Amino acid sequence: MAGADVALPAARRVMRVAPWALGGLCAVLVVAGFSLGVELSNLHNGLIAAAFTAVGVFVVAKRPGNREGWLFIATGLAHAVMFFGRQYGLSAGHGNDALPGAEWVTWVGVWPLALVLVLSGVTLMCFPDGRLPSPRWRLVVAAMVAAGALLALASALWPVEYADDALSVPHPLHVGGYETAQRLWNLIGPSSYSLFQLAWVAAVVVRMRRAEGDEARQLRWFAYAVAMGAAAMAVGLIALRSPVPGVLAVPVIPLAAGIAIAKYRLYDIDPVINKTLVVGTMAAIITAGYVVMVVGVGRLIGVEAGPSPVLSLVATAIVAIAFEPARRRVQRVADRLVYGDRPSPYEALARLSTQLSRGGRHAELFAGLASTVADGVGAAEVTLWVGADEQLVAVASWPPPADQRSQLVTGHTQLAALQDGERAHVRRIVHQGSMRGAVTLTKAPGEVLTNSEDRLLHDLVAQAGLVIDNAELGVELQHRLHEISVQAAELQAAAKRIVGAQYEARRRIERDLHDGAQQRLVTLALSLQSVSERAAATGADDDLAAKLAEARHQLSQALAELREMARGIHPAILTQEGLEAAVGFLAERAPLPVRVDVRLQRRLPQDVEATAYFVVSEALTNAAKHSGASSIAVAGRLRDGWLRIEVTDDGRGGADGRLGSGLQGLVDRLATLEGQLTVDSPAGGGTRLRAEIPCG
Amino acid sequence: MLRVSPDVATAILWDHQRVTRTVVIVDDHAEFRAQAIELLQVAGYEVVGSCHDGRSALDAISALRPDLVLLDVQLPDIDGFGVMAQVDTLADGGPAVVLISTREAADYGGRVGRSGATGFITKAELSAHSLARAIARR
Repeated sequence: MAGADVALPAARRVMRVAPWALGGLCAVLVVAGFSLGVELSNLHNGLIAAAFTAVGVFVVAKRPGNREGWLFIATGLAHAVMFFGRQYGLSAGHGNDALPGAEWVTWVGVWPLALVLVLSGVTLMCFPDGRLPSPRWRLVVAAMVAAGALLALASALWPVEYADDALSVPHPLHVGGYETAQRLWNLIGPSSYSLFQLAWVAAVVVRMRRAEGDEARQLRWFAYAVAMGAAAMAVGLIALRSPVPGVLAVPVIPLAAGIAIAKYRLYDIDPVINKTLVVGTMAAIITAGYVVMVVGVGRLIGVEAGPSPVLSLVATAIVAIAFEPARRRVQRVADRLVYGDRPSPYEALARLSTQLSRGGRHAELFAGLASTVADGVGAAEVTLWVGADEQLVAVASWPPPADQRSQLVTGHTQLAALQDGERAHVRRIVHQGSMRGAVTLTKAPGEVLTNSEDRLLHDLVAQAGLVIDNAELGVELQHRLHEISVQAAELQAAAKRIVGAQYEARRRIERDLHDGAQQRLVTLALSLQSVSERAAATGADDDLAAKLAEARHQLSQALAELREMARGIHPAILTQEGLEAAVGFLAERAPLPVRVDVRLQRRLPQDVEATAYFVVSEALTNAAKHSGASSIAVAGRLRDGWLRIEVTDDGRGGADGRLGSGLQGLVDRLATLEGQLTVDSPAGGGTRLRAEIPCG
Repeated sequence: MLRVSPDVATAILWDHQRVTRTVVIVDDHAEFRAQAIELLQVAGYEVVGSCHDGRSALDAISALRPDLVLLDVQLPDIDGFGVMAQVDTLADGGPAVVLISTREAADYGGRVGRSGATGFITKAELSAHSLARAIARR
């Protein structure tokens, strides 16, 4: 049993049996009391006894930790004792002599009234959890108990209440001072009882204002029952001049209270209140309308009193016509009163579209979607799932889950099982013919999915499909962009590798040339020289000498050409001395005068130097061959981590956008180094070629 | 042995340089080395050492203390300039070093001048005459 200490099993058994035993005792008393006859003045006690005890037992059985249940049983039992006592007394008063000890039994049923009222008041004040609204109320309870004790004492000593209760059985005690006591009682008694009532009403009101969530719902049930009871009493007194309807309505209060305690998780009173308001108002309007028509108009047009078929017909017709519009108006007012401001379907969609247009991350969009569905449809819980068929992943929930990391995954078949028809609803999100996800929602207890809400849900689900599609497209787009950037980086790396490989290939060719052909030819040259000398020494004929000389000359030329070719492939000076010296070397050997102004503070990476060198070489060649220039200037600077080389000639310019194949190849090489080439060649204004290469 | 040189100037110089006789040749190309040795011997030098890379060149120079070193720039391990860096210059009592290469001096920019070599001869131009001129320049 929840709340009990880890006590002996015996104690636990006692606790489990006790309510039923007490209930049984109460039942005995009530049944016995009723068997003595029905007394209108005592009826309410019997009903209260039965109702409170029954509900109390029920609550204790269902919610063992709830103290209120025990208070209910106590109140019920106290009323049962009072009821029986009074029934006894009333029956004896009517002449039933078969009841022994009527005086004492009656006495027992009368004097505890004040205290029982206090107990009842406290029970109601402690609703629904069995505790007072705040510690301050203990003072109030103490005052009530004190007053109650005083009144009970008075009632025990003197028959001050006997007259009110129509009891003719004499009081068992005969204590003096009865008249004074009676007078004081008439002064204090009824007003005290009224104050008791006021106290528990005040407590309930205080609690209602402070309550939220489940407790608020429980109190609404309770207040509703009280109001119904009061209405029944009022209607009974006014229409039927009898308190019976009010009295009969009294058990409704503990009944409602009991339901509220035991079932507060499942039922929401709001729809009940809503329907009651609408039905009651409509009934009142119809009745009033009818009365006005038949009686009022009838009197106006001078028809005699009494039912007139014509007027009745007219009234009925008017009511029939005016019913639906009036009902709708009344419903709207009731909705506003009961539910507050829930967005209309249009507002829900407008809100959603604002959220979508605001964009944001997919997680936010999904969360917004879930909350919009919850608001628009009036659901207590909404979950948005993404996926298809066998695997669905929960991407958003409303209310937002406390644990951010828990992510639910479910299968399609399990999803179908979720729909139990009453409060849980499942809608599959289908977009462009394929299933994208699902929406599951749970309505608040007692509410159903109305047609308009169903329609709104349908529209929202359609939007959800679009959002999911968008989200997936967005993700796909990001993947593609990432792939593209990866590919671009790979291409760049490949280009660099190719250029690097080219550079290496050229170096190898130059080296092979050097180590191979050039060496052999050089050796040959020496050898020929030696032969020449020996021929001269041995006095060979001139023809031989001339031939040898010619051979040596040819060889010398060949070697010079090879040297030049080697420089064109890979200039040794570039590697040995750097760009500055290499450009100077180029300039010395150029067919045109070249002014060199290259000042670099340091050596640069070899691919940068090589590319810059070949740009200058190519530019000088082009200028010499095509531009008709008379002089060329080469300038080079290293600044801010950028190498800037400029080759300017004073030729005719007009070089069109298309570069020669040589320069085009260099543009590609520059691109791999993240450099660039610009050609500025106004017609008749010379040509300026600029290369910029970053070099860290 | 008497040798008749075609160039009178060279003969005069040869007389003046009677002491400059021992030479170490350093070149990684065997055939060229053989030709060069023949040329040197014809020119009247005594070839005391023949090396094919920089390390052995340094060993030979320090061991044999030649008067002249004919040093190829392009060597398999350290190049000719690297060897130069570890050899005393002529002023400090080291040998006269003449650099030889398939390429021309200009292809090396200012390195030849900075190296402390006595002279530079392109291999294709190597002869007793050019050698004498190179030495004489100092």
